[in-house]
Amino acid sequence: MTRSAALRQYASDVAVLARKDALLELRSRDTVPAMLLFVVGSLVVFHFAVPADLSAETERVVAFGLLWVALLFTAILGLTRAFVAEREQRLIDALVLAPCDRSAIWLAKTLAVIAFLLLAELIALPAFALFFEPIDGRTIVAFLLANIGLAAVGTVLAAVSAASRTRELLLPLLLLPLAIPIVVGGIGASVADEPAQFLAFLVLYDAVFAIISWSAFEYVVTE
Amino acid sequence: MSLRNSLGSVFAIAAFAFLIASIALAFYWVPTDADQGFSQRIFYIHVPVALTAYVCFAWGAWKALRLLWTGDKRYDLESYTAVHMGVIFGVLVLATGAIWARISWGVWWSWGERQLVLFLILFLFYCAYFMLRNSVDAGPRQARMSAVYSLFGVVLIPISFLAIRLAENFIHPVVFTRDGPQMAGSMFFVFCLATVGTLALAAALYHVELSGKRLDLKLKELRKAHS
Amino acid sequence: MTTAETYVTAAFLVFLAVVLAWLVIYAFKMRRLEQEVRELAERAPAPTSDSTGAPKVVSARESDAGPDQESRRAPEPVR
Repeated sequence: MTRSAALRQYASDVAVLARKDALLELRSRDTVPAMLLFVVGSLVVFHFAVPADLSAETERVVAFGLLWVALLFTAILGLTRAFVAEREQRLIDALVLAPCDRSAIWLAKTLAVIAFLLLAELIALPAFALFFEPIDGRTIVAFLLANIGLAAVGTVLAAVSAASRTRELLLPLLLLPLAIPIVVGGIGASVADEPAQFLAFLVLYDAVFAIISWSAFEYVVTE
Repeated sequence: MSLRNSLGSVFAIAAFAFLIASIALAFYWVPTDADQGFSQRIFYIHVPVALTAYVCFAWGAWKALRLLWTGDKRYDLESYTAVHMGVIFGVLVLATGAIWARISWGVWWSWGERQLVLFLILFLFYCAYFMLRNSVDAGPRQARMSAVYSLFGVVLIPISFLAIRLAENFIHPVVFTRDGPQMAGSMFFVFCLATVGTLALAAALYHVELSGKRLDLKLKELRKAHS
Repeated sequence: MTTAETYVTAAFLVFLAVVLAWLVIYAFKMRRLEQEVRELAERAPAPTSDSTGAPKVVSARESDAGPDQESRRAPEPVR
Protein backbone atom coordinates (compact mmCIF):
# COMPACT_ATOMS: atom_id res chain seq x y z
CA MET A 1 0.00 0.00 0.00
CA THR A 2 1.40 3.38 -0.89
CA ARG A 3 1.85 6.08 1.67
CA SER A 4 -1.06 8.19 0.49
CA ALA A 5 -3.37 5.19 0.31
CA ALA A 6 -2.44 4.27 3.86
CA LEU A 7 -3.12 7.80 4.97
CA ARG A 8 -6.50 7.76 3.21
CA GLN A 9 -7.32 4.46 4.91
CA TYR A 10 -6.36 5.95 8.28
CA ALA A 11 -8.53 9.00 7.66
CA SER A 12 -11.51 6.91 6.70
CA ASP A 13 -11.06 4.74 9.80
CA VAL A 14 -11.06 7.86 11.93
CA ALA A 15 -14.13 9.21 10.14
CA VAL A 16 -16.07 5.98 10.64
CA LEU A 17 -15.17 5.80 14.33
CA ALA A 18 -15.98 9.45 14.94
CA ARG A 19 -19.29 9.06 13.17
CA LYS A 20 -20.06 6.13 15.44
CA ASP A 21 -19.58 8.36 18.50
CA ALA A 22 -21.70 11.12 17.03
CA LEU A 23 -24.45 8.65 16.14
CA LEU A 24 -24.41 7.11 19.60
CA GLU A 25 -24.74 10.54 21.16
CA LEU A 26 -27.52 11.55 18.76
CA ARG A 27 -29.50 8.45 19.67
CA SER A 28 -28.97 8.38 23.42
CA ARG A 29 -28.53 12.13 24.11
CA ASP A 30 -26.73 11.35 27.34
CA THR A 31 -23.63 13.49 27.40
CA VAL A 32 -24.11 16.80 25.62
CA PRO A 33 -27.34 17.88 27.37
CA ALA A 34 -25.71 17.06 30.71
CA MET A 35 -22.68 19.16 29.81
CA LEU A 36 -24.86 22.10 28.74
CA LEU A 37 -26.93 22.02 31.88
CA PHE A 38 -23.84 21.65 34.04
CA VAL A 39 -21.93 24.56 32.51
CA VAL A 40 -24.85 26.97 32.77
CA GLY A 41 -25.63 25.76 36.28
CA SER A 42 -22.07 26.32 37.43
CA LEU A 43 -22.05 29.83 35.95
CA VAL A 44 -25.13 30.62 38.03
CA VAL A 45 -23.50 29.17 41.14
CA PHE A 46 -20.40 31.27 40.46
CA HIS A 47 -22.46 34.45 40.47
CA PHE A 48 -23.04 33.90 44.16
CA ALA A 49 -19.36 33.17 44.78
CA VAL A 50 -18.17 36.55 43.46
CA PRO A 51 -18.58 39.51 45.78
CA ALA A 52 -20.41 42.45 44.22
CA ASP A 53 -18.06 45.23 45.32
CA LEU A 54 -14.98 44.27 43.32
CA SER A 55 -13.20 46.74 41.12
CA ALA A 56 -13.95 46.35 37.41
CA GLU A 57 -10.52 44.95 36.61
CA THR A 58 -10.54 42.40 39.45
CA GLU A 59 -14.06 41.34 38.61
CA ARG A 60 -12.98 40.72 35.05
CA VAL A 61 -10.10 38.47 36.09
CA VAL A 62 -12.23 36.59 38.62
CA ALA A 63 -15.09 36.11 36.17
CA PHE A 64 -12.85 34.71 33.46
CA GLY A 65 -11.14 32.51 36.00
CA LEU A 66 -14.49 31.05 36.97
CA LEU A 67 -15.45 30.58 33.32
CA TRP A 68 -12.32 28.53 32.71
CA VAL A 69 -12.89 26.46 35.81
CA ALA A 70 -16.48 25.85 34.72
CA LEU A 71 -15.29 24.73 31.32
CA LEU A 72 -12.67 22.43 32.81
CA PHE A 73 -15.25 20.73 35.02
CA THR A 74 -17.66 20.44 32.12
CA ALA A 75 -14.94 18.78 30.07
CA ILE A 76 -14.31 16.33 32.91
CA LEU A 77 -18.03 15.61 33.09
CA GLY A 78 -18.12 14.85 29.38
CA LEU A 79 -14.92 12.81 29.46
CA THR A 80 -16.15 10.54 32.25
CA ARG A 81 -18.85 9.44 29.80
CA ALA A 82 -16.46 9.11 26.85
CA PHE A 83 -15.80 5.38 27.16
CA VAL A 84 -18.97 4.28 28.94
CA ALA A 85 -20.59 2.77 25.85
CA GLU A 86 -17.36 1.00 24.93
CA ARG A 87 -17.03 -0.44 28.41
CA GLU A 88 -20.61 -1.49 28.99
CA GLN A 89 -21.00 -3.20 25.64
CA ARG A 90 -17.45 -4.61 25.74
CA LEU A 91 -16.96 -2.67 22.53
CA ILE A 92 -13.43 -1.63 23.35
CA ASP A 93 -12.11 -5.18 22.94
CA ALA A 94 -13.68 -5.34 19.50
CA LEU A 95 -12.24 -1.96 18.55
CA VAL A 96 -8.78 -3.02 19.65
CA LEU A 97 -9.08 -6.19 17.57
CA ALA A 98 -10.34 -4.29 14.52
CA PRO A 99 -7.86 -4.07 11.64
CA CYS A 100 -7.17 -0.38 12.09
CA ASP A 101 -4.40 1.51 13.80
CA ARG A 102 -5.26 1.94 17.50
CA SER A 103 -4.31 5.57 17.41
CA ALA A 104 -7.24 6.01 15.01
CA ILE A 105 -9.52 5.13 17.93
CA TRP A 106 -7.86 7.86 19.96
CA LEU A 107 -8.12 10.43 17.16
CA ALA A 108 -11.79 9.67 16.52
CA LYS A 109 -12.68 9.85 20.20
CA THR A 110 -10.72 13.07 20.58
CA LEU A 111 -12.58 14.62 17.66
CA ALA A 112 -15.90 13.56 19.19
CA VAL A 113 -14.94 15.08 22.55
CA ILE A 114 -13.87 18.30 20.83
CA ALA A 115 -17.24 18.44 19.09
CA PHE A 116 -19.06 17.96 22.40
CA LEU A 117 -16.97 20.68 24.03
CA LEU A 118 -17.68 23.04 21.15
CA LEU A 119 -21.41 22.47 21.62
CA ALA A 120 -21.07 23.18 25.34
CA GLU A 121 -19.14 26.38 24.62
CA LEU A 122 -21.72 27.44 22.08
CA ILE A 123 -24.07 27.78 25.03
CA ALA A 124 -21.58 28.67 27.76
CA LEU A 125 -19.85 31.63 26.11
CA PRO A 126 -23.04 33.54 25.20
CA ALA A 127 -24.40 32.79 28.66
CA PHE A 128 -21.18 34.13 30.18
CA ALA A 129 -21.37 37.25 28.02
CA LEU A 130 -24.96 37.75 29.15
CA PHE A 131 -24.31 37.19 32.85
CA PHE A 132 -20.80 38.54 33.37
CA GLU A 133 -18.36 40.02 30.86
CA PRO A 134 -18.31 40.45 27.08
CA ILE A 135 -16.37 37.81 25.15
CA ASP A 136 -13.74 38.84 22.61
CA GLY A 137 -11.92 37.04 19.83
CA ARG A 138 -8.86 36.07 21.84
CA THR A 139 -11.00 34.21 24.38
CA ILE A 140 -12.67 32.26 21.59
CA VAL A 141 -9.30 31.35 20.08
CA ALA A 142 -8.07 30.30 23.52
CA PHE A 143 -11.11 28.06 23.95
CA LEU A 144 -10.57 26.45 20.55
CA LEU A 145 -6.96 25.70 21.48
CA ALA A 146 -7.81 24.52 24.99
CA ASN A 147 -10.39 22.10 23.59
CA ILE A 148 -7.69 20.32 21.63
CA GLY A 149 -5.38 19.89 24.59
CA LEU A 150 -8.14 18.88 27.01
CA ALA A 151 -9.62 16.36 24.59
CA ALA A 152 -6.24 14.90 23.63
CA VAL A 153 -5.07 14.25 27.19
CA GLY A 154 -8.55 13.58 28.49
CA THR A 155 -9.27 10.82 26.01
CA VAL A 156 -6.21 8.82 27.06
CA LEU A 157 -7.00 9.32 30.74
CA ALA A 158 -10.68 8.47 30.18
CA ALA A 159 -9.60 5.19 28.62
CA VAL A 160 -7.35 4.59 31.64
CA SER A 161 -10.07 5.31 34.16
CA ALA A 162 -12.62 3.25 32.23
CA ALA A 163 -10.36 0.24 32.76
CA SER A 164 -9.88 0.91 36.46
CA ARG A 165 -11.96 -0.38 39.34
CA THR A 166 -12.90 3.09 40.53
CA ARG A 167 -14.11 4.12 37.04
CA GLU A 168 -15.32 7.73 36.91
CA LEU A 169 -13.77 8.59 40.24
CA LEU A 170 -10.26 8.35 38.87
CA LEU A 171 -10.51 10.66 35.88
CA PRO A 172 -10.71 14.05 37.65
CA LEU A 173 -7.77 13.09 39.87
CA LEU A 174 -5.67 12.16 36.87
CA LEU A 175 -6.69 15.09 34.72
CA LEU A 176 -6.70 18.05 37.11
CA PRO A 177 -2.91 18.42 37.57
CA LEU A 178 -2.43 18.06 33.83
CA ALA A 179 -5.10 20.67 33.14
CA ILE A 180 -3.55 23.40 35.29
CA PRO A 181 -1.36 24.70 32.42
CA ILE A 182 -4.42 24.86 30.16
CA VAL A 183 -6.29 26.95 32.70
CA VAL A 184 -3.28 29.25 33.11
CA GLY A 185 -2.96 29.69 29.36
CA GLY A 186 -6.69 30.22 28.93
CA ILE A 187 -7.13 32.78 31.69
CA GLY A 188 -3.99 34.59 30.58
CA ALA A 189 -5.21 34.75 26.99
CA SER A 190 -8.55 36.13 28.19
CA VAL A 191 -7.35 38.80 30.61
CA ALA A 192 -3.63 39.58 30.13
CA ASP A 193 -2.39 42.62 28.27
CA GLU A 194 -0.38 40.49 25.88
CA PRO A 195 -2.45 37.44 25.02
CA ALA A 196 -0.12 36.26 22.26
CA GLN A 197 2.32 34.48 24.55
CA PHE A 198 -0.51 32.67 26.29
CA LEU A 199 -1.99 31.53 22.99
CA ALA A 200 1.46 30.37 21.93
CA PHE A 201 1.73 28.49 25.20
CA LEU A 202 -1.59 26.75 24.52
CA VAL A 203 -0.35 25.78 21.06
CA LEU A 204 2.79 24.32 22.62
CA TYR A 205 0.75 22.37 25.17
CA ASP A 206 -1.57 21.03 22.46
CA ALA A 207 1.31 19.96 20.23
CA VAL A 208 3.32 18.24 22.97
CA PHE A 209 0.45 16.42 24.61
CA ALA A 210 -1.29 15.51 21.36
CA ILE A 211 1.87 13.77 20.16
CA ILE A 212 2.35 11.88 23.43
CA SER A 213 -1.31 10.93 23.69
CA TRP A 214 -1.45 9.84 20.07
CA SER A 215 1.52 7.53 20.48
CA ALA A 216 0.66 6.32 23.99
CA PHE A 217 -3.00 5.44 23.50
CA GLU A 218 -2.20 2.02 22.08
CA TYR A 219 -0.49 0.96 25.32
CA VAL A 220 -3.48 1.97 27.39
CA VAL A 221 -6.19 0.05 25.55
CA THR A 222 -4.44 -3.20 24.67
CA GLU A 223 -4.97 -6.00 27.15
CA MET B 1 22.67 -9.76 42.17
CA SER B 2 25.78 -9.30 44.28
CA LEU B 3 26.86 -6.38 42.13
CA ARG B 4 23.51 -4.73 42.68
CA ASN B 5 23.70 -5.28 46.41
CA SER B 6 27.18 -3.87 46.62
CA LEU B 7 26.05 -0.90 44.53
CA GLY B 8 23.38 -0.25 47.14
CA SER B 9 25.95 -0.30 49.94
CA VAL B 10 28.27 2.00 48.02
CA PHE B 11 25.43 4.47 47.60
CA ALA B 12 24.53 4.21 51.28
CA ILE B 13 28.12 4.85 52.39
CA ALA B 14 28.49 7.73 49.94
CA ALA B 15 25.22 9.25 51.14
CA PHE B 16 26.35 9.02 54.75
CA ALA B 17 29.75 10.58 54.08
CA PHE B 18 28.63 13.35 51.77
CA LEU B 19 25.56 14.31 53.78
CA ILE B 20 27.41 14.45 57.11
CA ALA B 21 30.20 16.47 55.52
CA SER B 22 27.88 18.88 53.75
CA ILE B 23 25.67 19.44 56.80
CA ALA B 24 28.70 20.10 59.00
CA LEU B 25 30.20 22.46 56.45
CA ALA B 26 26.85 24.17 55.85
CA PHE B 27 26.51 24.95 59.54
CA TYR B 28 30.09 25.72 60.60
CA TRP B 29 32.23 26.55 57.61
CA VAL B 30 30.36 28.29 54.83
CA PRO B 31 30.28 32.12 55.12
CA THR B 32 26.92 33.59 56.04
CA ASP B 33 25.06 35.04 53.09
CA ALA B 34 25.32 38.83 53.14
CA ASP B 35 21.82 39.33 51.88
CA GLN B 36 19.68 36.73 53.66
CA GLY B 37 21.82 35.97 56.69
CA PHE B 38 21.85 32.62 58.43
CA SER B 39 18.52 31.50 57.00
CA GLN B 40 20.08 31.15 53.56
CA ARG B 41 21.63 27.89 54.81
CA ILE B 42 18.34 26.06 54.18
CA PHE B 43 19.43 26.38 50.58
CA TYR B 44 21.93 23.54 51.17
CA ILE B 45 19.13 21.10 51.88
CA HIS B 46 16.17 22.54 49.95
CA VAL B 47 17.71 22.82 46.51
CA PRO B 48 19.66 19.52 46.49
CA VAL B 49 16.50 17.71 47.59
CA ALA B 50 14.54 19.38 44.79
CA LEU B 51 17.18 18.38 42.22
CA THR B 52 17.08 14.83 43.54
CA ALA B 53 13.31 14.72 43.22
CA TYR B 54 13.56 15.83 39.58
CA VAL B 55 16.18 13.16 38.93
CA CYS B 56 13.92 10.52 40.51
CA PHE B 57 10.95 11.54 38.38
CA ALA B 58 13.10 11.54 35.27
CA TRP B 59 14.53 8.14 36.18
CA GLY B 60 11.00 6.81 36.65
CA ALA B 61 9.96 8.16 33.26
CA TRP B 62 13.06 6.68 31.64
CA LYS B 63 12.22 3.25 33.10
CA ALA B 64 8.61 3.73 31.96
CA LEU B 65 9.84 4.43 28.45
CA ARG B 66 11.99 1.30 28.59
CA LEU B 67 8.93 -0.68 29.69
CA LEU B 68 6.83 0.53 26.78
CA TRP B 69 9.77 0.00 24.44
CA THR B 70 10.78 -3.51 25.46
CA GLY B 71 7.71 -4.82 27.30
CA ASP B 72 10.01 -6.20 29.99
CA LYS B 73 7.94 -6.11 33.17
CA ARG B 74 10.86 -5.62 35.55
CA TYR B 75 10.97 -1.98 34.44
CA ASP B 76 7.54 -1.50 35.96
CA LEU B 77 8.77 -1.99 39.50
CA GLU B 78 11.82 0.14 38.82
CA SER B 79 9.70 2.98 37.47
CA TYR B 80 7.26 2.70 40.37
CA THR B 81 10.06 2.76 42.94
CA ALA B 82 11.71 5.76 41.30
CA VAL B 83 8.44 7.69 41.32
CA HIS B 84 7.93 6.74 44.96
CA MET B 85 11.37 8.11 45.80
CA GLY B 86 10.53 11.25 43.86
CA VAL B 87 7.40 11.77 45.91
CA ILE B 88 9.27 11.31 49.19
CA PHE B 89 11.83 13.91 48.16
CA GLY B 90 9.04 16.09 46.75
CA VAL B 91 7.35 16.15 50.15
CA LEU B 92 10.70 17.18 51.63
CA VAL B 93 10.93 20.03 49.14
CA LEU B 94 7.49 21.24 50.19
CA ALA B 95 8.38 20.97 53.88
CA THR B 96 11.76 22.71 53.69
CA GLY B 97 10.35 25.27 51.27
CA ALA B 98 7.55 26.08 53.70
CA ILE B 99 10.11 26.58 56.48
CA TRP B 100 12.18 28.84 54.22
CA ALA B 101 9.10 30.89 53.34
CA ARG B 102 8.35 31.23 57.04
CA ILE B 103 11.81 32.63 57.85
CA SER B 104 12.08 34.87 54.82
CA TRP B 105 8.56 36.24 54.57
CA GLY B 106 6.80 35.18 57.75
CA VAL B 107 4.28 32.95 55.99
CA TRP B 108 4.24 29.18 55.62
CA TRP B 109 3.20 29.29 52.01
CA SER B 110 3.93 31.70 49.19
CA TRP B 111 2.42 31.38 45.74
CA GLY B 112 5.20 33.66 44.55
CA GLU B 113 7.79 30.92 44.93
CA ARG B 114 7.79 29.06 41.62
CA GLN B 115 9.53 25.92 42.71
CA LEU B 116 7.15 25.38 45.62
CA VAL B 117 4.09 25.80 43.41
CA LEU B 118 5.57 23.44 40.84
CA PHE B 119 6.19 20.82 43.49
CA LEU B 120 2.64 21.20 44.74
CA ILE B 121 1.36 20.44 41.23
CA LEU B 122 3.76 17.52 40.90
CA PHE B 123 2.70 16.24 44.31
CA LEU B 124 -0.93 16.23 43.17
CA PHE B 125 0.05 14.58 39.92
CA TYR B 126 2.06 11.77 41.45
CA CYS B 127 -0.52 11.16 44.18
CA ALA B 128 -2.92 10.53 41.28
CA TYR B 129 -0.28 8.15 39.90
CA PHE B 130 -0.53 6.08 43.07
CA MET B 131 -4.33 6.20 42.91
CA LEU B 132 -4.11 4.90 39.36
CA ARG B 133 -1.84 2.03 40.33
CA ASN B 134 -4.10 1.12 43.22
CA SER B 135 -7.30 1.04 41.24
CA VAL B 136 -6.10 -1.09 38.34
CA ASP B 137 -5.53 -4.82 38.78
CA ALA B 138 -1.88 -5.80 38.75
CA GLY B 139 -0.66 -7.03 35.40
CA PRO B 140 0.88 -5.87 32.17
CA ARG B 141 -1.89 -3.37 31.57
CA GLN B 142 -1.40 -1.72 34.93
CA ALA B 143 2.29 -1.47 34.16
CA ARG B 144 1.67 0.13 30.79
CA MET B 145 -0.93 2.59 32.09
CA SER B 146 1.36 3.70 34.91
CA ALA B 147 4.21 4.05 32.44
CA VAL B 148 2.15 6.27 30.15
CA TYR B 149 1.07 8.40 33.09
CA SER B 150 4.60 8.86 34.37
CA LEU B 151 5.67 9.91 30.88
CA PHE B 152 2.94 12.55 31.02
CA GLY B 153 4.46 13.63 34.32
CA VAL B 154 7.93 14.24 33.03
CA VAL B 155 6.51 16.39 30.23
CA LEU B 156 4.29 18.19 32.71
CA ILE B 157 7.33 19.41 34.70
CA PRO B 158 8.68 21.93 32.16
CA ILE B 159 5.19 22.80 30.90
CA SER B 160 4.00 23.56 34.42
CA PHE B 161 7.11 25.57 35.16
CA LEU B 162 6.40 27.69 32.09
CA ALA B 163 2.75 28.01 33.11
CA ILE B 164 3.67 29.18 36.61
CA ARG B 165 6.01 31.81 35.18
CA LEU B 166 3.33 32.98 32.79
CA ALA B 167 0.67 33.03 35.49
CA GLU B 168 2.68 35.60 37.44
CA ASN B 169 1.84 38.06 34.69
CA PHE B 170 -1.80 38.20 35.56
CA ILE B 171 -2.16 36.86 39.09
CA HIS B 172 0.27 39.18 40.84
CA PRO B 173 3.70 40.57 40.19
CA VAL B 174 6.60 38.76 41.81
CA VAL B 175 7.58 40.49 45.00
CA PHE B 176 9.95 37.91 46.39
CA THR B 177 12.91 36.61 44.53
CA ARG B 178 15.79 34.56 45.73
CA ASP B 179 18.08 35.52 42.89
CA GLY B 180 20.48 37.19 45.26
CA PRO B 181 24.13 37.93 44.58
CA GLN B 182 26.29 35.29 42.96
CA MET B 183 27.21 32.33 45.12
CA ALA B 184 30.69 32.32 46.55
CA GLY B 185 32.95 29.44 45.55
CA SER B 186 32.77 27.83 48.98
CA MET B 187 28.97 28.01 48.92
CA PHE B 188 28.86 26.30 45.58
CA PHE B 189 31.22 23.62 46.82
CA VAL B 190 29.02 22.78 49.81
CA PHE B 191 25.96 22.86 47.58
CA CYS B 192 27.58 20.31 45.25
CA LEU B 193 28.54 18.08 48.18
CA ALA B 194 24.97 18.18 49.47
CA THR B 195 23.58 17.41 46.01
CA VAL B 196 25.82 14.39 45.61
CA GLY B 197 24.83 13.31 49.12
CA THR B 198 21.08 13.51 48.54
CA LEU B 199 21.42 11.83 45.16
CA ALA B 200 23.35 8.99 46.76
CA LEU B 201 20.77 8.76 49.52
CA ALA B 202 17.98 8.52 46.97
CA ALA B 203 19.92 5.85 45.07
CA ALA B 204 20.49 3.83 48.24
CA LEU B 205 16.84 4.04 49.28
CA TYR B 206 15.85 3.17 45.73
CA HIS B 207 17.96 0.01 45.82
CA VAL B 208 16.61 -1.11 49.17
CA GLU B 209 13.03 -0.38 48.25
CA LEU B 210 13.39 -2.06 44.87
CA SER B 211 14.72 -5.26 46.35
CA GLY B 212 11.99 -5.13 48.99
CA LYS B 213 9.32 -4.79 46.31
CA ARG B 214 10.87 -7.59 44.28
CA LEU B 215 10.91 -9.82 47.32
CA ASP B 216 7.29 -8.98 48.00
CA LEU B 217 6.31 -9.87 44.45
CA LYS B 218 8.30 -13.09 44.51
CA LEU B 219 6.64 -14.12 47.77
CA LYS B 220 3.21 -13.42 46.33
CA GLU B 221 4.01 -15.63 43.35
CA LEU B 222 5.29 -18.40 45.62
CA ARG B 223 2.17 -18.16 47.72
CA LYS B 224 0.00 -18.49 44.65
CA ALA B 225 2.02 -21.48 43.47
CA HIS B 226 1.64 -23.20 46.85
CA SER B 227 -2.05 -22.63 47.37
CA MET C 1 19.82 30.16 69.10
CA THR C 2 18.31 32.89 66.98
CA THR C 3 15.02 32.34 65.17
CA ALA C 4 16.80 31.83 61.87
CA GLU C 5 19.07 29.20 63.40
CA THR C 6 16.08 27.38 64.88
CA TYR C 7 14.30 27.27 61.55
CA VAL C 8 17.37 26.13 59.63
CA THR C 9 17.98 23.37 62.15
CA ALA C 10 14.32 22.43 61.93
CA ALA C 11 14.59 22.09 58.15
CA PHE C 12 17.52 19.69 58.47
CA LEU C 13 15.68 17.78 61.19
CA VAL C 14 12.64 17.43 58.93
CA PHE C 15 14.92 15.87 56.36
CA LEU C 16 16.26 13.46 58.97
CA ALA C 17 12.76 12.70 60.24
CA VAL C 18 11.46 11.78 56.80
CA VAL C 19 14.38 9.43 56.20
CA LEU C 20 13.83 7.86 59.62
CA ALA C 21 10.11 7.52 58.93
CA TRP C 22 10.97 5.67 55.74
CA LEU C 23 13.24 3.42 57.79
CA VAL C 24 10.47 2.66 60.30
CA ILE C 25 8.02 1.83 57.52
CA TYR C 26 10.62 -0.39 55.95
CA ALA C 27 11.31 -2.15 59.23
CA PHE C 28 7.61 -3.03 59.42
CA LYS C 29 7.64 -4.19 55.84
CA MET C 30 10.68 -6.38 56.47
CA ARG C 31 8.98 -7.91 59.48
CA ARG C 32 5.95 -8.73 57.35
CA LEU C 33 8.11 -10.25 54.64
CA GLU C 34 9.96 -12.32 57.21
CA GLN C 35 6.64 -13.54 58.58
CA GLU C 36 5.49 -14.51 55.10
CA VAL C 37 8.71 -16.36 54.39
CA ARG C 38 8.31 -18.26 57.64
CA GLU C 39 4.74 -19.21 56.77
CA LEU C 40 5.80 -20.38 53.34
CA ALA C 41 8.69 -22.38 54.78
CA GLU C 42 6.33 -24.04 57.22
CA ARG C 43 3.94 -24.90 54.47
CA ALA C 44 6.58 -26.22 52.08
CA PRO C 45 7.68 -29.45 53.90
CA ALA C 46 4.10 -30.30 54.95
CA PRO C 47 3.53 -33.01 52.30
CA THR C 48 6.47 -35.11 53.67
CA SER C 49 5.16 -35.09 57.23
CA ASP C 50 2.19 -37.26 56.30
CA SER C 51 4.48 -39.13 53.86
CA THR C 52 2.15 -38.71 50.89
CA GLY C 53 4.28 -36.15 49.12
CA ALA C 54 3.54 -36.01 45.44
CA PRO C 55 6.63 -36.64 43.32
CA LYS C 56 6.38 -33.17 41.84
CA VAL C 57 6.65 -31.53 45.23
CA VAL C 58 9.59 -33.71 46.25
CA SER C 59 11.56 -32.90 43.15
CA ALA C 60 10.89 -29.21 43.65
CA ARG C 61 12.22 -29.46 47.19
CA GLU C 62 15.26 -31.45 46.17
CA SER C 63 16.36 -28.81 43.74
CA ASP C 64 15.84 -26.31 46.52
CA ALA C 65 17.44 -27.89 49.56
CA GLY C 66 19.62 -30.67 48.18
CA PRO C 67 19.19 -34.43 48.78
CA ASP C 68 21.23 -34.65 52.01
CA GLN C 69 19.10 -32.03 53.74
CA GLU C 70 16.11 -33.96 52.55
CA SER C 71 17.24 -37.12 54.35
CA ARG C 72 17.95 -35.14 57.51
CA ARG C 73 14.52 -33.63 57.50
CA ALA C 74 12.63 -36.83 56.77
CA PRO C 75 12.67 -38.45 60.27
CA GLU C 76 11.36 -35.30 61.94
CA PRO C 77 7.69 -36.31 62.20
CA VAL C 78 8.70 -39.55 64.00
CA ARG C 79 10.25 -37.68 66.91
